[in-house]
Amino acid sequence: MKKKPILRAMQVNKNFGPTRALVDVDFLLYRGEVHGLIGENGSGKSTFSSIIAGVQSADSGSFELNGEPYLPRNMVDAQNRGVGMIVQEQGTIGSIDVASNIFTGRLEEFSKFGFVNMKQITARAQQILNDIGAGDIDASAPTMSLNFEDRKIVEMARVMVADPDILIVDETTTALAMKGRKILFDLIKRFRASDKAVIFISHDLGELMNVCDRVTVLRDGRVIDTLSGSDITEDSMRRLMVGREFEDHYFRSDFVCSYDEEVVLDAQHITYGSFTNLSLQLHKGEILGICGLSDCGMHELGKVLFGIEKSLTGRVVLPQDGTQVKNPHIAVKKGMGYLSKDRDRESIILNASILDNVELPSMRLLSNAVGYISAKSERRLAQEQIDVLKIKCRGPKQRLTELSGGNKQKVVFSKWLGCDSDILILDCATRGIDVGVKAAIYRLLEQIKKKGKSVILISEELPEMIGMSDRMLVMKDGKITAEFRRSEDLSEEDIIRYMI
Amino acid sequence: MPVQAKSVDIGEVLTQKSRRKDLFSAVLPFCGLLLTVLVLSIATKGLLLSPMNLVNIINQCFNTAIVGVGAAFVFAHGGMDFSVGASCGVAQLACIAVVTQLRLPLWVGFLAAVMVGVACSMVVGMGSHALHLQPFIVSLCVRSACTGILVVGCNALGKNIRVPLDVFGIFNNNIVKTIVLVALVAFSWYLFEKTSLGKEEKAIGGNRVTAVQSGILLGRNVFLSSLILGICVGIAACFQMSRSGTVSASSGNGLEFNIMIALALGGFPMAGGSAARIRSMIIGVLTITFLTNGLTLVGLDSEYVSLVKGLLFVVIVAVSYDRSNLKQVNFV
Amino acid sequence: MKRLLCLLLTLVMAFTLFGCSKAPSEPAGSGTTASTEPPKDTQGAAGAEEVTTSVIPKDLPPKKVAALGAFSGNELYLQWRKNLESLAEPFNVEFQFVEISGSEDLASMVESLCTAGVDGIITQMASESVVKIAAEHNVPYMVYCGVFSDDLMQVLAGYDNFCGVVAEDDIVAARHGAEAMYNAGCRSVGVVGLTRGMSDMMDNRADYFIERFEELGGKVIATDYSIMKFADSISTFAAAYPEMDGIWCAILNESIFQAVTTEGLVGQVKLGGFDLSDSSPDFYDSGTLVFSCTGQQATIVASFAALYNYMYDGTYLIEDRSVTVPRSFIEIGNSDDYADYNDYVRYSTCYSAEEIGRMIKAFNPEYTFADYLAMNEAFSIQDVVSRAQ
Repeated sequence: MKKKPILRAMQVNKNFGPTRALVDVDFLLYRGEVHGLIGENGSGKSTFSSIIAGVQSADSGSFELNGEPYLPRNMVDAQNRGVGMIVQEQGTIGSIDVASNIFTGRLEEFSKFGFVNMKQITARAQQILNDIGAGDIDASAPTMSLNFEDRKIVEMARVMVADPDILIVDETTTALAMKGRKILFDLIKRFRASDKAVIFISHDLGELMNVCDRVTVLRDGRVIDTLSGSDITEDSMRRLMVGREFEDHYFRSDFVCSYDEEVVLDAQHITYGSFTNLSLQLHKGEILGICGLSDCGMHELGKVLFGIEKSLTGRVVLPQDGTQVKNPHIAVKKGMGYLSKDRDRESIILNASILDNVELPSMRLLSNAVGYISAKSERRLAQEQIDVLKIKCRGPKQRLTELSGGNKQKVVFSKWLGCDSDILILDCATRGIDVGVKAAIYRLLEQIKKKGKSVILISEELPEMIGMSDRMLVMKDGKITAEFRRSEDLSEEDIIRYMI
Repeated sequence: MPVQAKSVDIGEVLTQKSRRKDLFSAVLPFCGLLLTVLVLSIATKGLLLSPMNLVNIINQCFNTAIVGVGAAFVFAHGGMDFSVGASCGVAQLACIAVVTQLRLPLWVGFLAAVMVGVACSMVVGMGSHALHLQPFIVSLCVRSACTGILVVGCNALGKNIRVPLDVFGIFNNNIVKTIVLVALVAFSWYLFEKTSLGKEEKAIGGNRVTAVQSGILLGRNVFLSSLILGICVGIAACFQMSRSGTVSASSGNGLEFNIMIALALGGFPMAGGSAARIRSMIIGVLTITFLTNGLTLVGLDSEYVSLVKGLLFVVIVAVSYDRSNLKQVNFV
Repeated sequence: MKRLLCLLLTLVMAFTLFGCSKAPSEPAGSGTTASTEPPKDTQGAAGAEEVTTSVIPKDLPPKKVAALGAFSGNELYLQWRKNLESLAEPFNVEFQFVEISGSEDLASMVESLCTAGVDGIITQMASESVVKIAAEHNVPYMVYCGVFSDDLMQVLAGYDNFCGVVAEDDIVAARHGAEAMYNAGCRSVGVVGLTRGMSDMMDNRADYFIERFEELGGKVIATDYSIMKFADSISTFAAAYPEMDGIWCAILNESIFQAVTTEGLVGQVKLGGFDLSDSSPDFYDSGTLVFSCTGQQATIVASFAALYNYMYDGTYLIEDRSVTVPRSFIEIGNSDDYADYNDYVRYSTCYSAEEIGRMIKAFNPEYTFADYLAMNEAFSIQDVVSRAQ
């Protein structure tokens, strides 16, 4: 079989300050193929795809598109030459209708003498939506009225406007549920069938295995290997990404639902934002999973449980001494810890050192009566955590801006492990983190559980839910719709039914 | 294999680069100060560092240094107080009124000055915290109000109110001044760098949300930093009025600008955060003091002084200012 | 790299500065000769006739005097500087001009200057502690253009190095202004001034005008003391008081003339106040400006005489140092006066070095405090013209 190359990259380099994001990357994309791009966070895959899509430019190296030199000036230029990208997080504009969102930046094509022909736009948009199999979305509806997933689909439709030859999908699936995934995969199949090409970026190795014809593995900005056909297995991919063999189990090895009867956190009739009158109990030694779609209210729930947001009704109580969790100060004092979904903005100080971050909740413990904290004790604390969590760094004084996403996440964990928290509330603890760190976090949760501490795990990722939690609460539109206990037979479909 | 070897090299290069950068940021403000002192002592043929002039330097940096270390706590958590000059003026007015009008002992006057200083900084700090206003805006309001009080008060007490030196002699004693300066700076350094108070202030400056979610109480820290600043302003007020010998509508005028210049020259991050150091503040204060003093010693006429000062500021700030807070490093 | 470049730049700057430190003594010197030349020419007659009998001895010991003030580079500063520097060569004095912004600044500057070894200080401000700093270094301290309470004057007079205060009499000038405005036909005037309480001088300029004007039977219809917002005040007055026929200003700066023009008040109102500006001659020509005071440039020279007396041999020219020596303003009422002002004051010097020399008792033992008082009081445009001719 003779394949025609559509895109070729030669010796591409890209630096961010002292960081070498891409090093001499060679890449070949054929017509009619779905090409996976994988690597740990910071391996350069997103940088590489964004260079192809014209978001940023390479420092050196060259590209050829259909045999001609290709050097996109910006995203629009790339789109005009047939390269479109669906990005991880772009967002639609809620206040305008679906059709306008789809044709953002292209409205002048439909305008005459300054008047925009909305009718024509709406018709074209509807046609595109029908075409990708999302005919149930009304192109004239205000975007605000759509749910999270449909908005993602609108974004896909937006890319299809320019009828690209190369489609880049950058970790879009993390935001999609069943319906969206089906549309996306149909779209990918169609690209393959019509002799176009897809570059597919994902952390989900299973998904990659099903979809891709070939997979290129990046590590530290270099191409490590390109796998094709039967060589693409989860094991081989993981091994190449991380550069070492994995232990056999990824999630928890047992399937026993186990925890003490003692309730350590008791929330009764709490109301905030999108949820009302919600009650839940967390037990000693329990990993309690809370899952649902992103807008089901579970993220707000985490914040209310930790006292960041105030519940309008009811209260959150620590039954041991009856303390009411009114604010994060009380929560931390009573041994709770919280990891925010928006790590960089809420859980760490980017411009401070590892040491400064780790000691944040522990200062109370480190200081003596007059507030003195000895340099030795704080250094010891930070070094301990770096060793325990194997944080890749030069030392406790290194700034967080210089760490990769996974290592930053480890720093957040070390914050709370350092002050020996008994209750951890983790909101999307493994979001956007590569398999290596993910596995490390799962091991850590197991250890925490073994020590008799409790964890609330808020996540959209069902395999992780099923793999880690003792009990699972499924939320939909601000209500708990189901509760599952840990079991080997539990499948994703069982849970999804209650989510959507 | 060659790939492996190369990547190890890169790691080391990065480490070295990063270390060098850290060293640069730490050393450069010192260089600015050293350079200023060196050049000016050559230009003044050593007069700059003569014992007599070093006493002058202590006197001349005294107010800015004391209010500066207090302000460091406020700036560290991302706050700002633009009213220190005006509130220092009102504190002086309060002190002189208590001592000369009410005929109360000096220590009562001292307490009055401190209380006025604390009240003003509290209004700025706690007011902006409670009302969720920009501290800058609140401090402008307080500044305006204080200026008004000062003008009205000075008018009522006779415009240029004379400070009787026989009563205020203790505040003009160089030994007392030196002890107070060293003690205050040392104590502030201890609080700022070695205790949870300073560390929490810096954490809030680094990322307010993270600090709150890590259990740090915002209100408590704003309160304490305002308290420290207020006390410093009160102390500075007593020394300043004794030094200038008069309390008038222009008392304290310009102090806030000196603080800002010192911040910039010392490389103190304006938005606060973990890079904030008392050291930076002191370096900044010393740089501006040596500069002003030295240029006068050299015998430069006023029009040249402003010109040279302005140019030097630009250069020193360009060399020493820590810009890392301004740009978000893009990591992929 | 960028930082290294900055460091390099700093070095360059440093050397420039080092150069500057030497430079001022030369430019100042050359500036002195440059500005002394014209006065020598204008007083050529006087100089020629006294060339053999100059009261100022040759080979006077070199002295350094610092002149401090809130200069901010304005016209008055240049005038002060020119007048003072005309004395540099004859008296063998090197002048250093230092900007000060407040009383705390003053203490620091005086301290630094004393350390740098100046032989005398002339300044606009004074307080006990600052005079004390100068006293500790045995540096004579003289004040020009400053007003202080009697209480403070008593205390200051207790210091040996304090040579006294010479200041223009704003009160007398303000009263004269009131009379001039009344005589020009003004009956309803608006008064604009600086923020109250900032300076006694400025307050007096408004207060005593109002007092005298009302004494004469005129009416002050509006006052506005918002700092430096003169133009706004005038437009407000114009809108609210159509009957207004005069405006009195504590500082007659350019913005006032602009406002009067744009509000269409030329011909309708008369203007009076302190200081001159670029548009003053035009407004004198049109008869709109009827009175303004100037001449502060000579005060610094008059005070130098008192300072030099003490600096030279410890003589106090001002016998009672606890009382301010009042000086008259130059009062200009019409364009002829203004032309004289331009010729004899603005583009000349008010007193020749010879005249100042005669005020030094060591050189001219007959000179008395009474002569000095009379000299200060007699100052006027006619006085300057007659002495120059």
